[in-house]
Amino acid sequence: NPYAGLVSRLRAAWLSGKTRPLEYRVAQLEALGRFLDEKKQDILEATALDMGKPHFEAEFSEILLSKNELHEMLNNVSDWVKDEYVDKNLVTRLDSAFIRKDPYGVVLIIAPWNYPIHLILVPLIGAIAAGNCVLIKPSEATVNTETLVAEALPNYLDKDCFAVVTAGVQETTRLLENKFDYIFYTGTSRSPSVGRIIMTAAAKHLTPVTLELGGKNPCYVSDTCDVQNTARRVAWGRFFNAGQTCIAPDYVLCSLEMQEKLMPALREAITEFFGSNPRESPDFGRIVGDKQFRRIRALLCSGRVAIGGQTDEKERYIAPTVLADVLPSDPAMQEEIFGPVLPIVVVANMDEAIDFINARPRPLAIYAFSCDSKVVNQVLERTSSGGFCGNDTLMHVTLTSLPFGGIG
Amino acid sequence: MERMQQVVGRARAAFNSGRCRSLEFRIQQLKALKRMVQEKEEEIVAAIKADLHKSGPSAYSHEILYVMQDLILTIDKLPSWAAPRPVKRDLLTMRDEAYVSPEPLGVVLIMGPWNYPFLLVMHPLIGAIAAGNAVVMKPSEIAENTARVVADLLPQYLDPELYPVVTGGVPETTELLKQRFDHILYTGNSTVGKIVMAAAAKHLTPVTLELGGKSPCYIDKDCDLATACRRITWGKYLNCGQTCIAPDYILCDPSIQSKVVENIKATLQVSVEFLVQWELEARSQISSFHIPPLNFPTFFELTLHGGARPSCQPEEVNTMACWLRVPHAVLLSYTVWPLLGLCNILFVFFFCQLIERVISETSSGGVTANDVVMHFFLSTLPFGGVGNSGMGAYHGKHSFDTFSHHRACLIKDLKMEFMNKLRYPPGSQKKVDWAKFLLLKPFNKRQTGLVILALLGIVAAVVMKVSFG
Repeated sequence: NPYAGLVSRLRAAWLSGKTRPLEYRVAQLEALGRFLDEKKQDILEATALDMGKPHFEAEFSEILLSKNELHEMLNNVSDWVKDEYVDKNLVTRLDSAFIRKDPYGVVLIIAPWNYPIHLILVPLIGAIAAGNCVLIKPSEATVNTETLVAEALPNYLDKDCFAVVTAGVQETTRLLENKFDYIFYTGTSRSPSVGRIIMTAAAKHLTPVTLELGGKNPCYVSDTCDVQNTARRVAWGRFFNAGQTCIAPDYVLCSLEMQEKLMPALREAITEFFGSNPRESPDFGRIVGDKQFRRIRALLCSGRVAIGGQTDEKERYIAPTVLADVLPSDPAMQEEIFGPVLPIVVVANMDEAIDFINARPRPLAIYAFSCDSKVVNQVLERTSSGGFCGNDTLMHVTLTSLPFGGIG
Repeated sequence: MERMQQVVGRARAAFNSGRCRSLEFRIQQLKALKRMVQEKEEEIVAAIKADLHKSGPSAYSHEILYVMQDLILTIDKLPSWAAPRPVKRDLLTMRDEAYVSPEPLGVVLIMGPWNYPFLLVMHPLIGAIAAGNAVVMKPSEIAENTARVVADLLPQYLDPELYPVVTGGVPETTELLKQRFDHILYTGNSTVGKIVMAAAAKHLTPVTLELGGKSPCYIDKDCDLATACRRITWGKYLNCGQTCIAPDYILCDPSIQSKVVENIKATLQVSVEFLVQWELEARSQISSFHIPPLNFPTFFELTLHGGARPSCQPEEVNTMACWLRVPHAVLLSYTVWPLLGLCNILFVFFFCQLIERVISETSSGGVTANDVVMHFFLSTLPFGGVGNSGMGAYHGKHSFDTFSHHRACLIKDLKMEFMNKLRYPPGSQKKVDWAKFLLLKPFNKRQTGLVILALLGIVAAVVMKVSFG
C-alpha cells in the first residue's frame, strides 16, 4: 500500500508521546495562526483561481472563521484537556472518579473543495488540541489550494506528527485501506455516497468516524414576516460562494401569496448585493468545475425562471437564480442543488410545510422565518435536522459554542 | 424475511406518530419497566439461572440491581437531561437565543450479548427510551431463556409497537441488520462488531460498539498483595470469568509472582461452596463457537474441586490455570474463560503507586486503579471502549446523550438588520475590519468580563448603524 509507510511513521510519532504535552499542542496551534496570517494573500489568490471565490467571501469564510475557531481553542484548551471530575455514589465516595480526555492516535481528515481551507483547519484545530497526529487530504478538485496546502502547511507544523497527502479517487481508496484511529470526512451527500464508502472502509478497522455530509436544507417563510429582511438573509445564504455551501437554504417553502411578495424583494436584494449584472460583480463566485456546472444547469428547467437563469459555460458562471412554482417532482427537488439556484415550492400553510419537510431525508439545516416566534418554534419542534436557525441563514455555524453536525 | 421489515416499519411508524416525544410518555414507559423488573423478578432470575447457572443472589446483584439503579436515576433526572442546554454567545449573537436541544434519533437497535443477558439489553434500553426513541431489542439467542423471558414480558408492560423484541439467530440478525436504523448499540465481540458497523455504513447509521479485549492488570511490587489479589480474584471469576471488563491477565515483577499465586489461591479456597458453584457454572451451556483453542503451556495450575487438566474440550474447563507472564500471543478472540491470556485492551486495572504514569502512558476504554471492574458501577462515568474494544459509551446520562441528537439551535429576530450589512456584499475593507473586530477575540474573555463585552457590543452596534444604516 503506497501510504502504509506514511501512516506507520505517524503512528510511531504518536506512540512516542510527542503530541501529549499541552505546550506542544499549543505551539502547533499557534503555528496554524501564523499560516493563516502569512499565507492569507496566497489563500485568497488560490481560492479565486480555483473557483472564482470573491476575496470578500474568502476573507470571511476561509480566514476569519478559521481564526475564530483557533482563538476559541487557544483560549480554552488548557481547561478542556483537564480531567473532568464526576459525581460519585456511596460505594465510591472515598475514591477519585474522573473522565480523562485521551487522544485517539492517528486521525485522517478528508476535506472538500467548497471551503477548502476552513474545512481542513477547523477539524485540524480540534484534532491537534486533543493531542493526535494528523494526516490531511485536501480536495483534488481545487488544484491551486491543494498545492498551497501540500507545500506550505507542512512547513508550519511538526513534520513528524502531521502530514499532507494529495490524492485522487483511486489513491484515496488505497489510503482508506490503512488503519486510522479516527476519520473526519466532509463531503457530498449526493450519489455516489462517499460517506458510506468511508464508513464501510472504517468498519474494517473499527475506526470511529465523523461524517459531515449535506442535504436539501428547507427554508420555510411564513406569511407574517418582514419580507425585505427575510429576502436579504435568504439571498445571502443561498448565493454565498455561488451556492456551494452545505448549509445553504436549498429551497423555500411558502404560500402562493408570499411567493409573490418575496420575488421583488429577492430581486432587490440580489441587485443590492451584486449590482444589475452579477457577472461583473467581484463579490459573486463561480462553479468549481465543468461537471458541477453542467449538473446545476440541468436543474434550471424546474418550475419557471423568475430571476436570473443566465449561464456561461466558459466562465462556469450561473447567475443568481430564483425558480418559482417548482413542483416536488422537478429536477431541482431531486438532489442537493449546491449552486446559486433557489427554487420556491408553494405550500398552503405551515403544517403542510412541516409535513413536506418530514416526508424527506433529514437535512443538515432547517430555516424558518417568521415574526411570530411560535411559528419558528413549531417548525423547530416538529422537524429534525442537524442544526436549526430561526430568522436567518448560515449564522448558527459562526457560533463556536454550538456543535456543528448532521443526522441521518 | 418480511417479518423484520414489518417490525421495524411498525416501530418507525409508531415513532413518527410522535407519541414517544413527550417526557410524560417516556417516564410512564420507564416506570412500567421498573414495575416489570420488580413484579417479575423471580421469572427473570430463573431464566438467567437456566442460561448461566447463576444462583439467585448472584443473578440479582449482577443483573437486576443495576437495572433498577439506572431506572431510578433516569426517571429522576430525565427532565433536566432533556431540557435545552444554552450555550455561550459571542458579540454577533448576543441578542439571540442559542442552545443545544437534545432530540430523539428515531428507531434504535439494541443487540445484546449472552454473558449478562438481562442487564446488557435493559441498560441501553433505558437510555434509548429516555431519549425518546423507538427501540428494537434483539437479545442474544445463546442465552435463550432470558431472550424468551424478555420477549414475553416487555410487551406486557411497554408499548409493543414502539419497543418490539425480536428473537432469532444469525439469519434473523442478518436480516434485521439490513433494515434502516437511526442508531445501533451492539455489545459483543470485535469480529461481529465489524459486521455490524459495515451493515450500519450502508444506511449511514451511527453505532455504539461495546466490544471486548484483554484487559491487563498490573500489580506493583509495593502494594498490599492480599487486598489486591482478593479484588482481582473477585473480578476475574465473577460470572465464571465471562465479563468483558474482567481483569484478563496479570502483569507483575517476577519477584512477587509466587506471592500473587498464593494470595489468589487463598482467596479461592476461602469458600469451597463458592467453588462448587463455579464448577457448575463452568459447565454451563455456551456454544462451542465461543471457546478459543487452548493449546499453550501453563506455568501454574490450581487443580480445584473435581478438576482435571485443561484441554480443548469445553466440558473439561473446570480447572483454573494462572498465567503470570505471557510469552507469546495466543488467543485472537477475547477470553471469557477463567484462564488468563493476551491482546486488545478494554480496561486497565492496576495496583500500585504509579497510577498516574500508567493512566498517562496507556490507552484504554476505562481504568480502575487499586480495584477491578468497579468503574462500571459509577453511572457518571462513560462506559465504552476505544480502538478494537469499541466506540461510543453509555451509562446514566451518557446513555441519554448517546441516544439523542444534539441539535444546534440559533434563534434570531427579523429586526436589527443593519447588523447584517457588514456581511452582505458589496464587499469592502471596512466591512472586513468590522467582521474581524466582532468575530475574533483579541483579548481573553475571562479577563475582560461580560459587562465590558456587552458595552462594547452596544457601542459597536451604534457605530455600525451610523456607518451602514
